[in-house]
Amino acid sequence: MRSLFLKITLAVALLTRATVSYSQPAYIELGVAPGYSLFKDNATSPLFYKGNTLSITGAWLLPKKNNEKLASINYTFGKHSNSYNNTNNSARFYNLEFSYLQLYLINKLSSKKLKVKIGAGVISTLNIRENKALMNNSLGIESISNILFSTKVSKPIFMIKHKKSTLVDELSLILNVGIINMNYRPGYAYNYMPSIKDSHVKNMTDYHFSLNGFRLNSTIQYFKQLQNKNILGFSYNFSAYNAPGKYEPFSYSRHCIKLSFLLNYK
Amino acid sequence: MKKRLIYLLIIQIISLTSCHKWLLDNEVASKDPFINFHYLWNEVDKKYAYFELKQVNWDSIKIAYHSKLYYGISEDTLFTILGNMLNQLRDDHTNLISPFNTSRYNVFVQGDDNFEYKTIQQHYIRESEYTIGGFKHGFINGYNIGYIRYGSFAISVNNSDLDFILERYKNTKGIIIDLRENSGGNFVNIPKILSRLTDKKILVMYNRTRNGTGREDFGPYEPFYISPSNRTKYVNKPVIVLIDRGSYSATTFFALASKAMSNITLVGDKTGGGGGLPNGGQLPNGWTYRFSITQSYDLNKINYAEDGVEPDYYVHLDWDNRSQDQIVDFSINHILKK
Repeated sequence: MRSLFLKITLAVALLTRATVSYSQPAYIELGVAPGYSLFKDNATSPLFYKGNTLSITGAWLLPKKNNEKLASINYTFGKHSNSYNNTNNSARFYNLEFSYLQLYLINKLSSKKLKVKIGAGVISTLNIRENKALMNNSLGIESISNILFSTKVSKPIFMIKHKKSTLVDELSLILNVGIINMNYRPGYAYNYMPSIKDSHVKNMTDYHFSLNGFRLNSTIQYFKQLQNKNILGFSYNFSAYNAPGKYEPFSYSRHCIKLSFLLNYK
Repeated sequence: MKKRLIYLLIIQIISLTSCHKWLLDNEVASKDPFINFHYLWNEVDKKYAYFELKQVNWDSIKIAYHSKLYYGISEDTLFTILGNMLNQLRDDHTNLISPFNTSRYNVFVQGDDNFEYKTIQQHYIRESEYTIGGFKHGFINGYNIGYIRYGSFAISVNNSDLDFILERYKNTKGIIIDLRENSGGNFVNIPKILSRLTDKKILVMYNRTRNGTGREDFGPYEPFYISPSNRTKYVNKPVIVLIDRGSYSATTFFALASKAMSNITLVGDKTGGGGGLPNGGQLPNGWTYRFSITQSYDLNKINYAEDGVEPDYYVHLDWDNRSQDQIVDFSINHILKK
């Protein structure tokens, strides 16, 4: 038993060493993304609220030869408004998003000039909206989580620098589609006022999980390799989701352009 | 392969930039008077909480007000029609708001005026008046009784303010909490105050919320308790709470809860009501509205608070004698008799 344990320990140590010796790059990404988004919460208004947003992204990216992993956290804020019929109402909008994707290279569909990866991921979003015009429903909160089917098509672009080094830039299309879509939305009466219940005044007492809706997230991304092995990223992202909930739907979409810096820390 | 990729890029860019138009629901922005009328009528029909208590025939109201509409109607006239339709609910938690007007039922103006703070200042608490947070308070002149005025539940109650006030009056024979013309606010402040007036956990009311399209579809009765605070308290002594028709919404909840507390006596006039929590929403033409979506019940599960909570003793102001507040005088005598 002891010898078996020693063999396993040795094997793990050797594997780890091998991994280190063939170390793959690993990146920490920091990005900012100005954008434009719109939402409509049918429970409180049939009108779209639209406005500019700014997103701040932090991510961890581990690209390997045959697979890649991406974990990210994204905070978006902005002010959305609707001025239909001179009503000039506005809503502050805050959005916090966590996501994790894991993609695998599909050799049959890939070549040296084009890499096709597919995989899956999860994304979870928390929206907080404040629109004082809606009085006792001024606060809007919902949580939307999705299990994603993900595809990524990348084309390496070889850039020769100073005749000696060849840097590989990459142009990618990424498409994520929700295959299991969950949302946590308020109940029938839709009142974000605290409830008089038990000994305390409680918030969010009448919320319901629903398994419905859709989510789509698509990105066109250009990664420019720098000589110091770090990366500059430029991307256009479109995301949209609909959360029908149990009673009335919430819809959202956002376009944004992201500028990011990926630090290779290995 | 390169060409394919370029085509793919172009297709994706074109499709994504117009994506939200076919991915998301259509917007129903409209100034059409009939669309807005039906939208508002339906929202109230689906969610309003007091059709039965108030004996409101919402279907006949629809027929009566729908007949007043016509194409080309001015915004002002449409607002008047929709606002008047909502006022049939006889509920000050029901409003229609446009850029040029706000509709309200105004239960307060239909009742007697029973409050004049200047009389209290000049003839009762005089120079002992302190102001702290949303409270004005002082010793009633000539008596060992504390007077505490809380003018609006919209002003947050600070625990240290309450500590100071209750410490100041700890040796009095009783206190008067004046909630006349307190039109409500945030009911988080209700348990903050009442928890200082009890030394045991008390069930004070039930609430239930509309949860279906049937006009009598409601969720379960949710009990609400007041638990004793672990900070400075005023217990085992008489507490008089003054109310009138201007005491609305959170003040009605406060009065309803006070009914369940044996050391509290309600004096003055019936509260204005507002025993339902309101919601909020927007019409297709951008105007906003709200109306009550919950019901409140006393310990016997009787639903009366929406029309007002009755005092234990009805007392009215005599406006011919501006140097006396008969409601406060009654309260002083009531405390002294105990």
